[in-house]
Amino acid sequence: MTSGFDISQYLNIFLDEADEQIQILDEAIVNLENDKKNSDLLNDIFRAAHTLKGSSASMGFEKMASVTHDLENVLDKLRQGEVEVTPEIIDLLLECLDIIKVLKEEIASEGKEGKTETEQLISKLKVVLDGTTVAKNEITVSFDAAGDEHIQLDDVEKGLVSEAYRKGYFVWHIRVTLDSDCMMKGPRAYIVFNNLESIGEIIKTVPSAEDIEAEKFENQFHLVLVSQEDKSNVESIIDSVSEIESIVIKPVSLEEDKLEETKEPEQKEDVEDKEATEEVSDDNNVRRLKTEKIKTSQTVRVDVQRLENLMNLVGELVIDRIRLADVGENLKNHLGTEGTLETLEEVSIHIGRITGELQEEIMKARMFPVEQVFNRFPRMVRDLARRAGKEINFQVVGRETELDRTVIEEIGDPLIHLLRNAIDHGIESPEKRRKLGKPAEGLVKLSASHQENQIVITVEDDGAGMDPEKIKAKAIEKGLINRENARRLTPKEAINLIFKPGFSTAKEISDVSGRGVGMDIVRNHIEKINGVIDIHSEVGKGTKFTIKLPLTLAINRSLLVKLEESVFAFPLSNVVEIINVEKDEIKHIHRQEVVMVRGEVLPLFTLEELLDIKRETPKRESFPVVVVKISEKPVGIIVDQLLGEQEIVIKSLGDYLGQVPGLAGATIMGDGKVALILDIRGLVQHARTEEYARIAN
Amino acid sequence: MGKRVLVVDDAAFMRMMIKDILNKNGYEVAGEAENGVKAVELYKELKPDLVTMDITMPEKDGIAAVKEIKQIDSDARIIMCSAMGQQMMVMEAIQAGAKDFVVKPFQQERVIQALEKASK
Amino acid sequence: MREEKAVQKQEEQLVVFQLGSETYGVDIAIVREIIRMQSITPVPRTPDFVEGVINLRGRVIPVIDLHKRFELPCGDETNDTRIIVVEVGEITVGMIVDSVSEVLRIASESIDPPPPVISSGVNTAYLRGVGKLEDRLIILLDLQKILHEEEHKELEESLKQVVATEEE
Repeated sequence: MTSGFDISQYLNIFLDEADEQIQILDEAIVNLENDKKNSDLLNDIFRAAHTLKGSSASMGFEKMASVTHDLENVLDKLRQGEVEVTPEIIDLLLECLDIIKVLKEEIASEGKEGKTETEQLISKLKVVLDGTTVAKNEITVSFDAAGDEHIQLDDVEKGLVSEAYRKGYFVWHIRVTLDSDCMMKGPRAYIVFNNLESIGEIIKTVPSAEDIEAEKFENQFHLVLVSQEDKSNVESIIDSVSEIESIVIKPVSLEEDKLEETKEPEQKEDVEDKEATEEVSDDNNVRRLKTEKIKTSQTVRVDVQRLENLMNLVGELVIDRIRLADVGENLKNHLGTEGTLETLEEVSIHIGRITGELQEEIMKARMFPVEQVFNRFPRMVRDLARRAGKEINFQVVGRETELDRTVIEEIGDPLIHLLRNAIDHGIESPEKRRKLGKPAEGLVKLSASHQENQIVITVEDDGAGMDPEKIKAKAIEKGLINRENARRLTPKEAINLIFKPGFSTAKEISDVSGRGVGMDIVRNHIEKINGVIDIHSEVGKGTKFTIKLPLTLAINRSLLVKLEESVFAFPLSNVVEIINVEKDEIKHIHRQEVVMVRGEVLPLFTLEELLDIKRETPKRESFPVVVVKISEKPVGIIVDQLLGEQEIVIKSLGDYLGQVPGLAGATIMGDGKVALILDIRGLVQHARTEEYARIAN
Repeated sequence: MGKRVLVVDDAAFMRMMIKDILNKNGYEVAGEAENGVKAVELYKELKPDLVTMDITMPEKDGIAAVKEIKQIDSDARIIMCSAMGQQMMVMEAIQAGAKDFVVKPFQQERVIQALEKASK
Repeated sequence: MREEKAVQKQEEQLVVFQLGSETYGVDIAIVREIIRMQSITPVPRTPDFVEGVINLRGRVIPVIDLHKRFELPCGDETNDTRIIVVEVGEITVGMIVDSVSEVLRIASESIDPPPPVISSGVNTAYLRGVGKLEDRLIILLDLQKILHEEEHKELEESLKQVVATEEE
């Protein structure tokens, strides 16, 4: 332990941290009661207990360390699914929490642990621990008659192994056991992988890389390594990592391994993970499992700047490709068509296609849908609302909006804070709202969208709004501004005072809102990702925070269509279906053309009329119709040709052209040409007005 | 022969704790820095054998400092000091070239073990 | 980057181009690049002189036809036709011209203020001045005005509407 250490100087820090963890436990256990299968909550509780264990152990507080240690073990079983969360378990967890609080108070007042008994609690915890059932997890490591472990390989993996042996490599089955009190198993394993990757390829891990990163393992993991290094070198490489308890290395032999399929581990609890598991094998037989969440040995962490550089380089390639095509044209004019020139043309077209794909791939490498962050919120809002005694109607719009990965990591905390504020201070109590003539349920709306070259995220509520005068007064009181200057502020400037450091202090922040986070920290977080935050508020009406994140990479999956020679993109999120309509299926309601689809009337419009493009609509027997929908009633838009679905990067039309009605932006296609992205909402509104005009006549 | 260590952390008491551990175990504290910028400067000046580096710091964070120091000296031995919950940043730091990590609050043996392994 | 005022420098460096029978020039400081004609995607609901947009190294840039902008007769596209990409303030725009002849320096003293009327029909409001060389005249364009005029027009429109509704 930490003998020879004078811990008293660290006592305050310990107590502060303990308070934080206790807070987390408090909230999470309560939430768990209503959502027993929530793996995130279980992880939160586990981590808090783990942290408390670590710090109380460092400080020599044995009782707390012991309780939190057993608590942590129980939680581990809970989150692995070996024990179910029942009301009795919840009670036990709450009991633990109470004892921990008491222990902490004793330490706070006496500087050391007091007389509180923890025996009973610990024996209760042990009962739960002993009564566990075998993990439902797939066992992909089996024991043979001799008690030796063998790793189960599927056919592809076996192929890789025999290929490796053929080439004269070693194939090692390595079992690494971490120290039982290792605090960060994920990164610890990562270092092992990292070090090993410098001397070979890791072709399999048990559990999966994803599970290892999520620390879903006790303290042991297996891996299969292809390398030219012998056993002792491999061992010393792993041994150079700290917190390793033991290393067992054996050669992988194909004959003895059973031909069992490795099944997917059961998807327990509510899985909010993205599926998308692709397997790609290339010529060199190194297979990489791609899921969007694997981060250790099967992905490469790339500096975001590097991706930017790559993007710029590819951009230059595109331009050069055009010039190459030019040269080809020129030569053709002078020399006529000739074998070599045709080849030149082919090559240049091919390069164009490849660079287009390169561009797309690099952009995609960085983007994730924002729902990753948003998905935690409804639960959190519901519980915060209950705690604060408010009724909240929480709406989330734009979950599919994609954000750069760095932005996603940073945006969660500020949003949590804004939502908490809206619930605590924004929305009034139901009685108060009724008195004010508002619906008892307050509206809190979180939305994400891309507008031009920005991601816009808003948090709005229809609550009490912010009073510029009150804010001025408070700022003056806190010495953040003097009376003179305060008087000269516009209401908007006054409201922005809340962003000044020191505006809110820990004392005022209610228990539910969390500790020590002022609006200035929120703004810092946002500015860190090059964003800006703005407030719009009206007393009595509500408040709206608008966060703008400048992002040139906004991606949408779209349907590309052709209208004469121009290509247009329909963002798929609003496309219901695509149908083919025959000329004689068209009916008329007054002057409005419609077609019957599954018994419902679908009004039809040509894309050219919705965009005010003058052209002769060709006479056709049949034509493709893209059915789009904004609110309830769908609209059918006639186009010339369907080109297919594609993920496109949204680019702004620029300041010069400004907002063109009916268009949301532009995108660059694989051949370097520009396609226009349709603003479906705008088109539908236009269509609706037209429709009414025609039908009302 | 006492190995020389550069201690980097923006919290004074944290540096104090680490220095205590170092002194009690035969290591020499070559210097201390409270942010990434100072860390790189002092590394150039002092050329320590080892560095303990906090992750989140003002001016320049630990990961950026690791990158710079590794550019100056590809053989630099840097140990990250992280808090619980910073898994991803730790992995980034390793990618940037850090050798190992210890988790706060520190346990003496862990810190020493990490330093010893990194010295090899 | 703003166009340098002629008075502040001893000389100016201009990119000189042809539009019809006249020679024009713009300050080199605002010229980003000069490219050949390429495929332009037309954009609906834009003024006539806006030909459309192009892909410039990953950026979508609008392209205007200066002939149409100045209501000059449009010639055919030739091998010499170019697009001059300029950046004025926040706005980046490509301008289609008949040909780009050169970049030259002209002494500030050789630049006269714009005359009240000019034969080519370009509204004198769009001009910064006229440069006199031994054998020809170079008409200097005020791109700031040319590109931003649209904004002013719209602002006026919306102001008119606001005033109208208030008077109701």
